[in-house]
Amino acid sequence: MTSVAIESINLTKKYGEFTALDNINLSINKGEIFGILGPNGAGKSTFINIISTLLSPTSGEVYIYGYNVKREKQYIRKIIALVPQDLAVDFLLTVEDNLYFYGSLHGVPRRELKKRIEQVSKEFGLESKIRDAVLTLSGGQCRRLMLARVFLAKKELLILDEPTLGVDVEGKQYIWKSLKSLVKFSNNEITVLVATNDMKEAEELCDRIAFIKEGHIIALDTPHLLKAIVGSTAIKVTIDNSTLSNNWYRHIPEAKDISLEGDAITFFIEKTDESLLKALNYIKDYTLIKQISIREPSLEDVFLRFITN
Amino acid sequence: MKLGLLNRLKPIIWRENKISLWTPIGILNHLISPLFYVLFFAIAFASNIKIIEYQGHTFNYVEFFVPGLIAMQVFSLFGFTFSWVRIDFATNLISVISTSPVGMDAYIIGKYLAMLSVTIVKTAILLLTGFLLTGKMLNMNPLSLGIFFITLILGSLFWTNIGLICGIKVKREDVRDIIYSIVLLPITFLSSVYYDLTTAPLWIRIIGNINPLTYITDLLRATYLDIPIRDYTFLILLITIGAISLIATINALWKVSIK
Repeated sequence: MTSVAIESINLTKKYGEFTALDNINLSINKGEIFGILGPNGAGKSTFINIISTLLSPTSGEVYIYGYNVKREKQYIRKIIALVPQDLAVDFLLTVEDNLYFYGSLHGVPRRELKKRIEQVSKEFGLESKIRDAVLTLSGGQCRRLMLARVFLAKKELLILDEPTLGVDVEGKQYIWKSLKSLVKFSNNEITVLVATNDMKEAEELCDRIAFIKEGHIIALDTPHLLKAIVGSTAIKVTIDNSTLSNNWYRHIPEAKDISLEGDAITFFIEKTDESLLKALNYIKDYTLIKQISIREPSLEDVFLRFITN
Repeated sequence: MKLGLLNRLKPIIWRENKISLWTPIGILNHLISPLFYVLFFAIAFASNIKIIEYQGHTFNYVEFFVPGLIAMQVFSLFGFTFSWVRIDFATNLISVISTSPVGMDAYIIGKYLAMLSVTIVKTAILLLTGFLLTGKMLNMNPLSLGIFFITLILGSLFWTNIGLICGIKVKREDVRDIIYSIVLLPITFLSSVYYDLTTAPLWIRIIGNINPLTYITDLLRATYLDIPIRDYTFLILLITIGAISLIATINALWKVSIK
């Protein structure tokens, strides 16, 4: 039995002349929470749609739990559960009916279904809304319902496209915790593929992350190692900006990804006292330092570095 | 490993019944509205047109009108399917079904079966009300009965297909409204639902004879009133347009579901 959940080999998707995905080679392991990050139009949703059998690749091969995405769609559909980017709930039915319908679509036995509906509605805070029409729910509650449905279906591969869009902070934390524990206790049987623009979500949730830009994977690693690429420490120095005339700040020794915003210079530096001192002494020679703040780099820094460069 | 069609149909039919029959709007639309049609239209018309001559026979107008009302209920599947399918696309339910083991073939077949069951319920209500008002029962001759039900099935299939195609293709609300206002009334009035088309002016006869609602009405009327079917061209035409609409629906759905 293979330990690979998703394998894409030279995957390319074209819409006419436009190439949405260009030779994507990727392997996602079973039991992994894998994130895809990228700006709008980078190819995230195209990738998600191919994995969820809604789109066919133009060329290349994709295997989901060993099944070929072009030829074995019917088998793949038995092991996947999709949360699309847009709200996809049945507004004509109640919360309970939505859960029942989704469970039936995915072949959950009737007797088991009742028990699972009770369980997931409690887990996702929908218990008091169970008999309400979905039309009366807020956007965040609809998102919870969409996630509750995939939990109820208990599939091997959960495909989540912007799963917490519009969910409040508390709700997001809860969803992330639930997803992590679902994967943890599945004994590597459940894999999660998440496409998101929420850096915090990617950082909190994902074991590994791929950055996609213009249809290419430009970086792929664990959040920790991706952050290490940027540099160990982010330094923000507030200065007297009247002294910036000859762009001296661009040449701060040992600093990477230097940027200027108003009177604040931000750069990344290896975590050694010596490097930091060297940089600060250099700045001090040109201007007056008003304030210094030091923080660990975030995924947002990684994103900006890869996407803007 | 592939689920049988019957198992895949179950959730679709469950949902269709839930939204189209077992809601207050569903009950009003499907169970009560046919009664309104008979009581308001048929009796009101009958108070002016006591009897009508049709194919050399004389009939009470309510008797004449009941098959027309049944044909109209079949025709109403067009608007009904059009609306629901648009909602299913707008709420992304199509992608939820497409990525489930149930699949789109079960979605389409489920729609047909649900719409057919709606037609049968409505037809039963209309026949029963017609019987209470006129004493006229459906002809139990096997051939007549067979043609009556084949017409109901083919008519439901055809109008459900047209509703499915419009629901898939039409994305804009204003276009939907134009279709409703331009198509619905002319199709109803330029058919044989309310009157005998053979006595109408030539241009109305020409349009009426290419109107599928006329085929359905005339076939239902002939079997209900127990008069000989003039020729079977309408039945052949109904089979033909039913098949063409089915191919067009599969083609339209294929284009939107897998790219």
